[in-house]
Amino acid sequence: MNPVLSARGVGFGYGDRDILRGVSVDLFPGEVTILLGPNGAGKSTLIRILSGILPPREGEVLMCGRPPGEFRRREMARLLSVVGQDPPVDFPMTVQAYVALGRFPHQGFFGGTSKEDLEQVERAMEKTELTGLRDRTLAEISAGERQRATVARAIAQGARVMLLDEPTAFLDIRHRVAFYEIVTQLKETCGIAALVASHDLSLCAEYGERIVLLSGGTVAAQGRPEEVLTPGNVHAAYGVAVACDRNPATGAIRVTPLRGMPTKN
Amino acid sequence: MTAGGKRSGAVFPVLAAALLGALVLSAATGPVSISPRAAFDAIFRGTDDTPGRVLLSLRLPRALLGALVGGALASSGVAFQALLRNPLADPYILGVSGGAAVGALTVALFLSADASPLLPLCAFGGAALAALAVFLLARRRSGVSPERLILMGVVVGAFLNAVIMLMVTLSPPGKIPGALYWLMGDLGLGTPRRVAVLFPYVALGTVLLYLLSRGLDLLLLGDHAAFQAGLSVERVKTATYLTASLLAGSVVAVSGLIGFVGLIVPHGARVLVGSGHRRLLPASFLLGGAFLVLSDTLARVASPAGELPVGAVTALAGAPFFLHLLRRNGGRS
Amino acid sequence: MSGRVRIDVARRFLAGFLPAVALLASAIDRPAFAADRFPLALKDDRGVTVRLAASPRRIVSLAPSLTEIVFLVGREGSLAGVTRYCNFPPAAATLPNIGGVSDPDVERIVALSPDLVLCTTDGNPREKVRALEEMGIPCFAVAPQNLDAVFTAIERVGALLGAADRGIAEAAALRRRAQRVRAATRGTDAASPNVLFVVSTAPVIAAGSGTFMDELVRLAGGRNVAARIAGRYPRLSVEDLVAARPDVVFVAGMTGVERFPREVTRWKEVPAFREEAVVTLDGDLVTRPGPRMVTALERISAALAAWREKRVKAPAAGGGGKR
Repeated sequence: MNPVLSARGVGFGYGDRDILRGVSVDLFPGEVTILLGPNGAGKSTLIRILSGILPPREGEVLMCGRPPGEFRRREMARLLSVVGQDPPVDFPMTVQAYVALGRFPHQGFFGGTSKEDLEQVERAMEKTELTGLRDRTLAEISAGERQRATVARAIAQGARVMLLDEPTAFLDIRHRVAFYEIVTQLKETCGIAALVASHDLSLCAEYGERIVLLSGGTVAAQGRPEEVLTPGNVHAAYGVAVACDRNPATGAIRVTPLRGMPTKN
Repeated sequence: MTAGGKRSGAVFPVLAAALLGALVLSAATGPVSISPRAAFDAIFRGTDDTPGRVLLSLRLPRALLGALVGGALASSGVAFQALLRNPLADPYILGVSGGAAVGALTVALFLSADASPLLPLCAFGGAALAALAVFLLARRRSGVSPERLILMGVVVGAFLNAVIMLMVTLSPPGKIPGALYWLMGDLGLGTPRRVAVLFPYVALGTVLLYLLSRGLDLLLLGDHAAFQAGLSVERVKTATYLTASLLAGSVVAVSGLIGFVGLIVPHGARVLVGSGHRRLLPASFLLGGAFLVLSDTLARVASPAGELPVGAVTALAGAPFFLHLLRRNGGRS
Repeated sequence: MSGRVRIDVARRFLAGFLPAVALLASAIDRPAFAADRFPLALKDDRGVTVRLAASPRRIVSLAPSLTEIVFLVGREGSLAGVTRYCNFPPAAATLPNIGGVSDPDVERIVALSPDLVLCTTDGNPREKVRALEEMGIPCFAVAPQNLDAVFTAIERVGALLGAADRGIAEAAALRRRAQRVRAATRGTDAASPNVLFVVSTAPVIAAGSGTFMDELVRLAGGRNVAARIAGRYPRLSVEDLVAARPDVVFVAGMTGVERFPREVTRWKEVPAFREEAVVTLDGDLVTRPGPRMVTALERISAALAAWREKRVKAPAAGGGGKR
């Protein structure tokens, strides 16, 4: 199968400072890839480069085998959606209106709102349990609810690839699990490819097919969870001693931190 | 109380009626008494008596000018607030007011009265040049960021304000009152011809902004999010900037610097129809037009000492009204 | 004593006594400042008593009207400094300039070592006058609010400058001229035209009640249409002009004030525009509370008289006034 989005030997930096070096990642349809790595490892930068906002200094990004520059903006947005930062709260925008903005790539400036658009928005809000909040403004809801709204917007956008930058940071365990379940559903029913940058070492092993461990701007390890989540890799990347075993209840890799101050890398 | 579909539906007819009512009230107010019969005759039978001429040459142009100016300022304010992602933005923030003032005052203070037809042109030219300067100064390879636009707007504005102060000190004393009234905003400069000349600019500008509605919605999300949602961000920003500046510049050229409308009317309209620009822009236009026409009518009759500057009335009357409107809707804004 | 000696004594006594009596008598029915008597103490228009030991030799004037009064009473030889707006008589413009009316330069004034500063509370900043007084320079404030007060001011300034007789004489002459104008309008059963006096044509700013222009118009027998509107200088819209229908419009011309724009003058409902009865006067005549106000009064009266004549010849024209 061909990767739907790939980075080949991507490098990026400001001045002499290198943020990423020689990063190669492939995303395949119907697969959830987890992007792990300590703060400052370059996860957000990689996501920005993959989404086309930042041009790589070296290497290339290919979307369905072609560089992003060849796509028109709206076409690109139908292929790729990004869940990033907090939405704005300065203006009174309702949750419904916000999620509905996700349909822009399908409507354009002049297109009306079709039945399909309404259905997608409705479904996205149902999946993220936001239907009760639809008329509240973004300023009135909590940070966690806003994050769910951002995910809902990406879902409504209906793109083939979703890049998600720490989408569970403010969510409680219920909504974290719900989030990963939704992504799994989407991958299974719509065949989307998802890249989730996360700190959830255990949950991601549960839901991710592939893990990319980024450390110091390079890919320290890449592959299936059991290949990547080893005490050696985790210690090298995070400076934390862990024990890795299989969770008897689920069969997924379980990472347990051991007591003791983290060491410097 | 949140804005459900039902409530929003009634808003537009009410606003349109309010604007129409304001126009009629303005046309009916003034020192010369015009009976309804005389008004009818003047409009439909073309009788050329004094009340008729006052109605057609003075009152109606003034009222229509107020509607156009108020609507344009409100629309421009909406656009700048979206572009800069800042609820405190107004149409004058990025150089338009300073540039227009320098252009207008050059004619008003230093050229003879025969050159006064040039004034709107010079005001518009000044506004356009200043807006362009701010835009070019703020532009970087990565595009135009709101923060940089505001910064350059402040810098250019401060410079132009200094130029204005210098101009006023060097000007002949007999011309200063006229300059002062222009700076405070004056709808009394409206003639049928000026209204006719202004109309296409306002129509063009508001229609263009309306077409950009969805883009404005997305700009509110932030440049990156808008980009990833499929918007050609830089193109939309440039188009919005130029259109909103065109709108503001063209009305300032004819009516001087009427403040407050472009800042507060968008907020009031948001309370009525929400943040979606497809509804917000038309609602703001209607609300801004009605508000300015009413303020102008008030300015003409409120004081026994003669006309008040309309910019003072918009602020004095408008601030408490909009404060009330915003308070009533609690945490929505 | 012999009879002849008694007559001699009586004659000598009368010769000495009568003039003294006459002097005393004149002192009684003339105002106290009529005597050219130094040292003198005079209260100015602020209520401040200004004392002068001798006739002032170096005078600084802080207003064009005051400069004109100084020249009028013949004491221009003692003028050491004037404002940059003091342009009448022409000789005044050659005198050293100490700044403007609202912005006189205190240092420049002090450098001239004046022994008297003539100032006005209508225009000179209070702090600067106070600064001068604190430096020991006597300041005399003159601020007449109507024509009669202008005449009194001339008399007082005359006395202050050691030219009391001249002051009285000039004031009297001006009073007579003003009287003549008043008599002319009272004499006939003349119509009282609606008059508008403007200080700016775009926008139209009119002189309302409480201004000198209003008083001059009334004295000349006209009716100031702007007097009905509150405020001293109301702004009028074109519609206000059309509603008021002034028969004669006076424009206080100054640099920058020009003719009415065409869009205003095309309103022929306004008699002043229809009959082209717009008269421009030198603004200095009506904005300076000084001797030339009487000149302005005479010109206004002449214009109104011309209007009346035209009406007699063509009585069909509409307009205000009583008949």
